[in-house]
Amino acid sequence: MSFIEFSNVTYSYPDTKRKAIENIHLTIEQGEFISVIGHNGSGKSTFAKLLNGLLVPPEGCVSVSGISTADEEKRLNLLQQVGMVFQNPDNQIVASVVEEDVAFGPENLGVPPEEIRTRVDDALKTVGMYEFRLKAPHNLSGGQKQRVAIAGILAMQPKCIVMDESTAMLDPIGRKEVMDAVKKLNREFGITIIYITHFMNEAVDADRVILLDHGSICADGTPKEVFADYDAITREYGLDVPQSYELMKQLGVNACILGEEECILHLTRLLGENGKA
Amino acid sequence: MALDDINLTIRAGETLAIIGHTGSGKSTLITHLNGLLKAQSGTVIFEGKDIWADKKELKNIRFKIGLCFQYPEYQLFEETVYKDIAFGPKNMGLDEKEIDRRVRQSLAYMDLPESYLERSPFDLSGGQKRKIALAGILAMQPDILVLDEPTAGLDPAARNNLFDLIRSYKEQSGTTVVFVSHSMEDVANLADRIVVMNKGKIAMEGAPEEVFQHADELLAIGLNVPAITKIFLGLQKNGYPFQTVYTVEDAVKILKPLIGGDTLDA
Ligand SMILES: Nc1ncnc2c1ncn2[C@@H]1O[C@H](COP(=O)(O)OP(=O)(O)OP(=O)(O)O)[C@@H](O)[C@H]1O
Ligand SMILES: Nc1ncnc2c1ncn2[C@@H]1O[C@H](COP(=O)(O)OP(=O)(O)OP(=O)(O)O)[C@@H](O)[C@H]1O
Ligand SMILES: [Mg+2]
Ligand SMILES: [Mg+2]
Repeated sequence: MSFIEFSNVTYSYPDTKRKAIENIHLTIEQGEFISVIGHNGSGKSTFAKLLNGLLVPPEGCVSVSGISTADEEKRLNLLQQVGMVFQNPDNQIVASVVEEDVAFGPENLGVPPEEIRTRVDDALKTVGMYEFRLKAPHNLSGGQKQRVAIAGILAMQPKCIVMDESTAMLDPIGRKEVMDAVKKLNREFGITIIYITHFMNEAVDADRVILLDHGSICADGTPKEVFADYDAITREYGLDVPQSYELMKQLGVNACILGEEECILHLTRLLGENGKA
Repeated sequence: MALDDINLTIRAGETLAIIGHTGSGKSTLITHLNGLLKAQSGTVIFEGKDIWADKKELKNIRFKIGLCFQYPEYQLFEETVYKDIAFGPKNMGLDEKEIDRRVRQSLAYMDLPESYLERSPFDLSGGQKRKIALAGILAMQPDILVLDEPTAGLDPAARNNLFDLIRSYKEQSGTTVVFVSHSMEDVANLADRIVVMNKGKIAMEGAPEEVFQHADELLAIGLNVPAITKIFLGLQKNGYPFQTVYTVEDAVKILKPLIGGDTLDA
């Protein structure tokens, strides 16, 4: 049994004929770091909501740790296992003090107060927001707010965190802070990360990339495997590639280079003494 | 203070990007442009006149300066996409036929089929909502487009489509465009000039090639330089005295003559 299993899942929103998700079949293991990419309306957010039981498929089955998301009695357990962070940093925070906000989830789960205290402190330390625990959330930057939202989920001790374009509204440093926090949760705590994004340079940071197109999975593999077909990515799927790869393409160099460091190394090797003064 | 002592001139016909850390005052600044917010001190002059001088004029100014909000949810409220896009043109007092023409044209600009017109704007994906919000502003055919993070949530094809649209719209009508963005790559590709905000003040101002020269200062205030610029800074460190670039296009111009191309493999 895998951690998360989708078997032949199809989903249409009420009163629509279109299928937002069509016949998805996939497994995700505990501890994976997966990015999900795809054009607007390709089904990414729907996929996310199917993961934690916010939506339940009429056809097929989604299970997390062996529990079907259709099992009403286990709903709370599911919400605790799979946490979600959304796009807008301003409407995910409920309390007027950072630490109260982080305590909100475990309180709802009925965790004893003394344990809540340790969980809140640990969660805030993990995302680097402990010094801000007594601050008012509205005084924080967007990246800091998103990290508080992540801490709130962390305090519920989830197995999986779904980030639905959680960095779309952040400045470059905020984006990096959130990405670093998420990587740390994945590496140090083995938390499964599902990272939805339109930034291709973020997507290639994951270990596995899932590409959705009109509700179906069109590619599923390592970043290099998924981005190998440049023409398909840029023409068929409405996406693009990181600038390092775009540069290689336009130079006529046949190499799927997805990161800046790798690009600098590769160019240095290609240039040799050419271009040095 | 959300904004402090801002002195800014926006030139007719330019494409101005506003960048800055979250909470630096970008949205506050641009909501002053069409009088959605009124500053406690100071003035906003549009075409030589204080926009608050005549309250009645202010309404017309809002048709001339089309402002698209950072979060499309705050802009969409009608029960159908059609009514939402038609809202602005209707307020301008245009006749039904012209409204209809503009609604369909704006939707087509956003690459969405007409079947969307009867849908509820709330039953759309995040990026689709953004497209409807943008279409609603375009339908007013404003003299100045003010777009708050217009590409956030758009897929790369939609983002490129919007940029092409802005370029051709400018070419036809000489529109002035002011946009806020967190993507340094987008800013380098589209802007003639950049204003950098930091804690409610203007920290820097200039053409992309001027502003992006200050990589360290930008990093210190929560920003960055485009990825391609980072690659060139790395090459410079490795002993290549290249001039710094900000777009892939310019990078190719420098590197192409130095690299054989075609037959090279990894
Ligand atoms: N509440 C809803 N009611 C009806 N249709 C919906 C609803 N939400 C989304 N849809 C439709 O389902 C499809 C998938 O939407 P979804 O939000 O999953 O896309 P997405 O990949 O997250 O897109 P984006 O990149 O724009 O966020 C789209 O065609 C959308 O119009
Ligand atoms: N309605 C409001 N009431 C009080 N303070 C506000 C309000 N809106 C914004 N602020 C504050 O004003 C400052 C500037 O906010 P603004 O929204 O203009 O920043 P921004 O640069 O657009 O940020 P972002 O990149 O997150 O959109 C921030 O400190 C913010 O907390
Ligand atoms: Mg979405
Ligand atoms: Mg803003």
